[in-house]
Amino acid sequence: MMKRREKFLLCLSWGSGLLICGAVGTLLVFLLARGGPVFGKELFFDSTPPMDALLGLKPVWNGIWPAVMGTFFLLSLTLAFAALPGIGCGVFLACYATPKQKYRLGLAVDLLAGIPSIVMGLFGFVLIVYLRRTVLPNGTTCLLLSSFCLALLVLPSLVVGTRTALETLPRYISLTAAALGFSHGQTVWRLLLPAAGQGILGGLMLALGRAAEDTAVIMLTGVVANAGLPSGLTSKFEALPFRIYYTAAQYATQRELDLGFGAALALLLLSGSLLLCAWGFQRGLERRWRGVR
Amino acid sequence: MTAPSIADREFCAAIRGLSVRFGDRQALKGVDIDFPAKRISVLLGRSGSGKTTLLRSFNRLNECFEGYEGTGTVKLGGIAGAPDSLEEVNALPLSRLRRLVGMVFQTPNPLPLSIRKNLLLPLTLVAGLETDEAEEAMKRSLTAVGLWKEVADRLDRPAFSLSGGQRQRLCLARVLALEPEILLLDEPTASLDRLAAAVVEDLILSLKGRYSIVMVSHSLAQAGRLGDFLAVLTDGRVEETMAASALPKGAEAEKFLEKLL
Repeated sequence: MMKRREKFLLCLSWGSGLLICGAVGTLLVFLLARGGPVFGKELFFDSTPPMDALLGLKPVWNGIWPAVMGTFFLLSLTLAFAALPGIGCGVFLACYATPKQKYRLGLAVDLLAGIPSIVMGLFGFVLIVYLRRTVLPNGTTCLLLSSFCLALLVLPSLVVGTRTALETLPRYISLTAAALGFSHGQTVWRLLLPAAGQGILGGLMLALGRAAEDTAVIMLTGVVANAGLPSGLTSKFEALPFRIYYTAAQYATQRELDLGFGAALALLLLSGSLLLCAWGFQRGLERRWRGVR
Repeated sequence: MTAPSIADREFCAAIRGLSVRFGDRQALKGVDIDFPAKRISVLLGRSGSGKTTLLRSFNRLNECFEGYEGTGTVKLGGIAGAPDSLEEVNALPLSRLRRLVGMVFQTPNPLPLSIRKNLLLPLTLVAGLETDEAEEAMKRSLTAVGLWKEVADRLDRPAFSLSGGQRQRLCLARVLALEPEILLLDEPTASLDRLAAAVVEDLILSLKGRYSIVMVSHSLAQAGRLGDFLAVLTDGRVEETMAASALPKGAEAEKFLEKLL
């Protein structure tokens, strides 16, 4: 009886693993099949010479280059806003908070995680309206506002990722450090935090992925269909997910639809390469911390 | 309460009325005991008799465990400079106390770092040494535990690549590098095979006279081999203390222990 149950569980876990591989594989093949053929110079820059576009000498009207750059800036700003408070809050929850603080702050983080992105977008919109009436009469929806709201949206995955990574570290590390005379602060910053790096990176990846795909927030806080390269923090911008959304809703010809798939492929590659960078960065840091050559 | 029957009356620790509880569990119930300086004292007793808790009261490590409550005093001798001074553990800064009272655990616990960083990190952070001084201290203490030749060419390998016995000697070296006065050993050979255990035992014997050593042991044979002073704990109380020389030999010994525990 026990044997059969074990076999069933084994099949289930193998099956689930294969299902994930299958889903990712199908998605990739589909995107490559539809977006692959149009993936090239023309998709990104349309008829503008690439060098001129890259240097910002000539505007790109129909290509996705401005959207690629828009998404890139949006993600960088979002991370700049979210990384410190997110990781900091996770460290506080795991290493410094009293049980009562843990409960209350944990609840707040869970609540924040449960807010749908469209609500976050509305919040940003209301915020700028309020600011216009009070201190910023010329304020308008923009890159800065979008990234601020996106940061709020992805904060919980950073907090939870950091907290979980720290709390699941083996107990002996902090006990050993205490017995050797490390202060609590030294234990946290010199041992626990670096040891949890892999897990924190996991939270960062989730946050980045969420920020890269979100359309609802930016739609209400500053993204437009055609803006060219973002000219500053307070300007309107283009972004890949919105571009894809817009194409899917408005395409007139088969070719336009294919260009949409091309944009989707570009988005995937962009977030993939960002993750790869983060992974390499973390590995480098970890190797230095461990002192292992 | 019998005082240790050792000619040298200098104490490394004087413990009075020590009671410790963790939540509902009373681990120590009013312990009064003195430990001789620069000797090996061995704590014997069944699992759960409070040996490890008594050991951890030296470096206040009990406070790292959930539900800790403690009363009584633990005074340590010769750690505040003057050899005959007795200092309350609560009166010392925690990091200084734990540097002066080094501890080796039952399961070897290298940090998840390289062999080199396992020694250098405490030396630079806790002892505040510069890197080159710390490298010197590392070499000295690795040599003292007989590990230098084995690891000299692989200092940048993970500490977990070492064998169990080597890891335990690394942990001992890490503690010795901080130049402690008192060494706490919590069943240091329990997780090792016989050969590795013998190496560590020899090492402990070689440290005798230079450090005050308090160790927990499960084995009367080991206590006989290493100890100068024995204390038997039962159910959170010190049942008996004696000089190791008063210990019966051979088959008598087992019966004796049977009776005590």
